[in-house]
Amino acid sequence: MSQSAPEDLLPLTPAVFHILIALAGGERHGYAIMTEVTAATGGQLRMGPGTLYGSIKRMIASGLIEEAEERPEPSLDDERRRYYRLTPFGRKVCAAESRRLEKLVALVRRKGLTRPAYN
Amino acid sequence: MQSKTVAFCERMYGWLLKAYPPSHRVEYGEAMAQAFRDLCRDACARHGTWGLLKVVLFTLADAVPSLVAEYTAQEARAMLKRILNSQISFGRLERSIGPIFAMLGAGVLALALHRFYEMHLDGAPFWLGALAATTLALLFAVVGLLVHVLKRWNIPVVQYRRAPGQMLRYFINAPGLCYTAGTWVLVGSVYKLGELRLTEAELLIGLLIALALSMLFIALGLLLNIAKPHNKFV
Repeated sequence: MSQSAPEDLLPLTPAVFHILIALAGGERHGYAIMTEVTAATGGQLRMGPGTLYGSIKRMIASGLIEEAEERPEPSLDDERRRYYRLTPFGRKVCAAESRRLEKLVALVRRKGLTRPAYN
Repeated sequence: MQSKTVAFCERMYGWLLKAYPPSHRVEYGEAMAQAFRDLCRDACARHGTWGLLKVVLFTLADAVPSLVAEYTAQEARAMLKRILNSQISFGRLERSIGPIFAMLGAGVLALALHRFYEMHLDGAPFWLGALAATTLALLFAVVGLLVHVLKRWNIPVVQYRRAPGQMLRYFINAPGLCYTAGTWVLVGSVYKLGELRLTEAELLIGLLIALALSMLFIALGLLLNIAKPHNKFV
């Protein structure tokens, strides 16, 4: 599969971006991604299984993530779970989206529409 | 009690999963059921039955847009695949060539005869011109047929002699008629617009309308061609 440039996939949807961020910390299975995204956004973004696996399917097709080895999650139960991890291309896309959002935030601040968080 | 409730909710979710496209269900159904089960257990442990109910309602609400997205994506992928196949598969493209060439030939012939009539040609000049136009039109048809024969070159040509009806159907079919109609609309409109004394803006509008109408016919022909089952010409 020929990959496009990272910038070609921008802007990312919030769900996709947060899944990439969740996987930046290492391999995760589906439920772990859901809980990490909910925690990271303070409950603002919640994904159900439908949204999660629809996004995962499209992200695998785009080369952003890949499936890792199935294994049980000891803290949950003995069932084997499908784990996912970020690809190098996925990391580049995540970084590109971050830069895009940084520029957007800088623009908003220049316009005086918001103050920095530390003020 | 709560484990029975969770098990019941899992069964309900299993029925909901049947609504997803089969390909998606086979690939991710088990993982989705597993994630739902984890959600239910977690909600039950933290907030009891009320938490479980909230999870169920949330999952139902989440399922609606994801179902729409999966079916839309599946249909879009299937249509794209059919379109790409019709472009890269010589078999499908070749099925269009006959009708397209017949259309071009018919257009050239009709235009030429109309022009000869307007020029008030009669006698030898008219018949010579008509012969030239007919020859050109037939040439288009022969080229279209030749492409088909070359594609299936291992089939003896004698079969075509035995199936004139099939040959006729190769050129005259629903997509072919659409292409022909589209060409007639465009050529006729351009011809007529040229005769009228219009301003530049009026001419441009007229041409755009003619092009749009023509494209509608051609698009219909393409859709009919793509939707056709495999060609059983030979």
